This record gives sequence, C-alpha cells and structure tokens, in this order.
Amino acid sequence: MHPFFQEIELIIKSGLTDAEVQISDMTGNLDHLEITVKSRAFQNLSLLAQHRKVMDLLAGKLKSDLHAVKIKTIVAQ
Amino acid sequence: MLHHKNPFQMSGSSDQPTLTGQVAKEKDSNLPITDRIKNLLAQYKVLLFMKGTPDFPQCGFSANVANILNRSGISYHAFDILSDQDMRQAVKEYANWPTYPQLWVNGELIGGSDIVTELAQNGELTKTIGLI
Repeated sequence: MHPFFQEIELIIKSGLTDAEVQISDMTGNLDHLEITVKSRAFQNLSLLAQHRKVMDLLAGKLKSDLHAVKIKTIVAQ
Repeated sequence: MLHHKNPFQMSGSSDQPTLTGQVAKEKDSNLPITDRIKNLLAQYKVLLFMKGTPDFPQCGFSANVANILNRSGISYHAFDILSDQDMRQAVKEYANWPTYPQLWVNGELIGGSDIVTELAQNGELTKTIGLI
C-alpha cells in the first residue's frame, strides 16, 4: 500500500477504531482520493453526519496535501 | 482548481433534462452575512449553493447535483457562490462543511455531490425533500 494511503487510513482509524478503510487514487496524482469507510459508528446517523465523521478526521489533510476526496460510508452492523 | 478536467463520472451530461432550478434572488444583500444566509435558507425550501447557475454550472460537482435535481423534477433555487466571495467563505463556515455544492432543504444541509448522488441512487432524495 502507498505510504500516503497508510497515513490516511491511520488518521481515520484514530477516530473510528473499528473502521475498515479502502482507498483508491482517482487521478494518479494522489490529490483526488476515493475513500470507503465501514464502521459501526455510522449506525443511526444521516449520510451527512456519517460523512462529517470522516471529513472531520481528514480536515487537517484536506487543508494541506489532499485536494479532494470522494467519501463512501458503509454502516457496519 | 480542477474544474476543466474533472476525474469523476458525472451522471448524464449528454442530454438535457428539463431545468427545474432558478436563480435565487436575495431581498436584501446589504445585511450582515449571517443574516443573508439565514434569509436565503428561510426564503427557499430547496436551495443549492453552487458554482455557476443551473443552466451554466461552473464545476462538475455542481453540474451533477443540478442535473440530479432536474432529472428528479425537484424545483430548487440556486445561489452562485462564485458571484459573491463573502458568501463563498461565509456559507462554508455557517455550514461547517468545506466544499460546494451544498444542497439545503428546509434550512438544513443535506450534503454535497457524493451524498446527493447516493440519496438519488437509493431512492431517498425525493423522500428527504418531502415530495413523497
């Protein structure tokens, strides 16, 4: 796995400890990533609230070297 | 910004659905910025903060959401945040959401392009907007 992906995954798991994370590079430049996160923490949350959980964790990265992300959340049971 | 070379697959850009969006018109744009935002949200049940206008979007993500609303037959009003740098900054902070487009329904943020796409795909968009 690319070190940058590992870093992103670690950041997400720091806040969502049970998260399963899948990351793909949409442009080949590592600045547009598609990130799929599966977690029990998404239970009973609106899609917006689920995305917020991921976006809040990535806020620092989005201000620096990550230009845009496409987030997909999956509610783990 | 990468608007001229969008890497994402956008739904339906080839044919033209009926346009259901109109440009939002502020009653008073001289108020403090937070009041302007609140007034717009109170004025319009379905409000899209976007880059460009419904008939001339300036960004693939904004075009995507406008297209979905058009195709779903959902009437909406759109505010072009590229036309107003104060609003462009202020709505992001008001929403605590970092990107555009932003779809708001009854004064609540529903989400951006990803969320609206997913809601449309799983059939929840019209329910969210209260048409069904």
